[in-house]
Amino acid sequence: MTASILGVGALLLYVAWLYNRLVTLKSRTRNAWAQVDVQLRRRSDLVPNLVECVKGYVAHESNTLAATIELRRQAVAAASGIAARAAAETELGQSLRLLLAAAEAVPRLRASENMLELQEELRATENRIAFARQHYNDSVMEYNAAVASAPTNLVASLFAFVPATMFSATDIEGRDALLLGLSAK
Amino acid sequence: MIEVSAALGVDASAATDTVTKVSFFDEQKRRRRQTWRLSLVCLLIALALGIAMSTILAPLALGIAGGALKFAARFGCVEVCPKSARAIGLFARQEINLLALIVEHGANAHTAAEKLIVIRNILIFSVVLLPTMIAGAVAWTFIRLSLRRAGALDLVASTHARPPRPDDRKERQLLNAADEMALAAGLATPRVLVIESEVANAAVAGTSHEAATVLVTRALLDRLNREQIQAVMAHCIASIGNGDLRVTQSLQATFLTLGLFHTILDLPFRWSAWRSLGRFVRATFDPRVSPVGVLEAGHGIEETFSYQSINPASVFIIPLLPLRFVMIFQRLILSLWCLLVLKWPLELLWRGRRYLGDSGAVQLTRDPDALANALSLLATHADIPNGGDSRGYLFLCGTEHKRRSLDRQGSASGMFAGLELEMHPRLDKRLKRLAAMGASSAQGQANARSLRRGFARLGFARASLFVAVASPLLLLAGLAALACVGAILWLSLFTVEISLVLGLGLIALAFGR
Repeated sequence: MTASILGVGALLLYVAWLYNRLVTLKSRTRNAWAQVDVQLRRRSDLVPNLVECVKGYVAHESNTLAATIELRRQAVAAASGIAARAAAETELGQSLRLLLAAAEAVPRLRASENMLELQEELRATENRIAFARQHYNDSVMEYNAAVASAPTNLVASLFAFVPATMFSATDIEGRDALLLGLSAK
Repeated sequence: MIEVSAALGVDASAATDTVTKVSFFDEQKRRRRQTWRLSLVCLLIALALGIAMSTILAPLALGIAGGALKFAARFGCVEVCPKSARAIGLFARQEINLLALIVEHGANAHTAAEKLIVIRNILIFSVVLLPTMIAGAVAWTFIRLSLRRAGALDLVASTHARPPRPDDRKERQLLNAADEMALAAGLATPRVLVIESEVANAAVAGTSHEAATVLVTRALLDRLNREQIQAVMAHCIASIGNGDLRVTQSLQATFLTLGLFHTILDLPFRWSAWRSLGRFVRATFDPRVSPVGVLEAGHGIEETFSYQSINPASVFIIPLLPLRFVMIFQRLILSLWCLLVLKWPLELLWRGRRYLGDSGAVQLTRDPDALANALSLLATHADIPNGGDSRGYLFLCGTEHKRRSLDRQGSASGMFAGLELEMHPRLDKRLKRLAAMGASSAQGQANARSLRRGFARLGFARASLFVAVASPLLLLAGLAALACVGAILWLSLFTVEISLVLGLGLIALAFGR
């Protein structure tokens, strides 16, 4: 009798421990997403300044300028849904890269202190997004693994924990290109 | 799929026969397990040292209690006091008898039942050690709390670190790298300070991962490019996230507990013991004492292990002569233990933390090459900046030149004078681990000192000659090391027994009649 009570008690404690682990992991992914969001917003705020900075020098690239502004608007509008957001932000990142490449092609700009500062700022911004995304994806991976693997999956299905979506990076090559382009110390 | 394998640091195409590839997750798991094992070893050694300590303190406490009761009996308390004093004496006598039994039976206990009796006797006997052990545990907890409050913030003061200037491009990069790595680790951005120094190095200080400080020298910023600065920052932040600061606090608390008891034992023999004890107690219980004050008080406590603490004049305090004799002998044994036994697990433990930090940095940056390049650039003339010597182990790289002056050796650990600790892994080993995690640039340097390559260079005939000469020597060295450990163990047991028999015997003689 006492043995069975002890057994049930131990089982309940174990389930509670598993449940708490899931909750911790889930809140970690949520927090990581919030960080990604903050960093994306930070980039969106930076875009108008950047465009303002280089507008005078790269007038011949007016298409890119217009596209960048339009993509920024779309990215800000696509705030809901991780997949849609990821797609919009990826395009914005690519267009920013094009813009920066155009600015670097201008000899007057390439060596100027302003340009170096701008490069560092943009690079820090891109890095922040990349690392926040990396942390988010790591957290999601851990959380999803917990949701899918035994014995946590039983608890997960009991309390309706669903797997989270990764912030899929389709622009890995693009990011490398950016890093190459910015390898100036 | 490509992303996942890249993310795990596994690069199948670049696999070579010299280094087996591991993912940084596995490397971290391995290093964590290593930490646990070595912590356990350190804990057991600390426990043994604590038992040795108790063998002086327990009889001393009994003696003081008995003396106080006798004194009280002279001034009125005639009913209870003499009886209690006599009980103490009888207890001491009983313990001595038990000890004699243990020694006698322990040598010729063959059957399981006899061994069981010996173990039972040892357990009954160890009751006398219990109060001191409990006091030690309580002291450890308090000391650890006060160290936690202090962090390693004396490093900030002694290296004259300053906040970075955001208008300087390199320092701006440093701040950005700190933000990025904190994001990657999911931690709060630590405080970042710059040390004006010609030496390129970086360190972590602070109380916990909520309040940590990363210190970077200006020379490091000048010498490394952005990726490398980022990798160094990643190592520091990974080290914060791994809880290295807590590990150092626990280790330091253990040494300070031992030092505290020795300082208490020193009280009758040297004035400075009173002063350092007073300062230390104040630092532990008074929250107004600054972090630097707490750590200075700790240094005062550690003074007890220096040779200056043995005052030759104290020999003339005749009534305390046995105590003095036992104490000096114990301290000798303690330093032998630290020099020859405790040194190894301690060094391995801390080096393991550096490797753990390296693999953490790879996880954060996903760029093992950057860290490998940074380490090889830094290690060529690595040194600890001025003012950081006493906390050299908190730095990313150790000094490469091994011969250091005597005072620096002692303060390399800040714990025992003369205890030379190599707290940093060798560069080639570090690079080898990084190469295993996918750093392609590290491979040439990592293999430079490998045994197989050395043999290949020697050629078969000379290599076999080398093995033939070296293996008996190695065997001899191993035997000598074993004999050393055996001798130390024997000496320690001898000391423990002497102090117990002497102490308890005196008490039995004084009160047990």
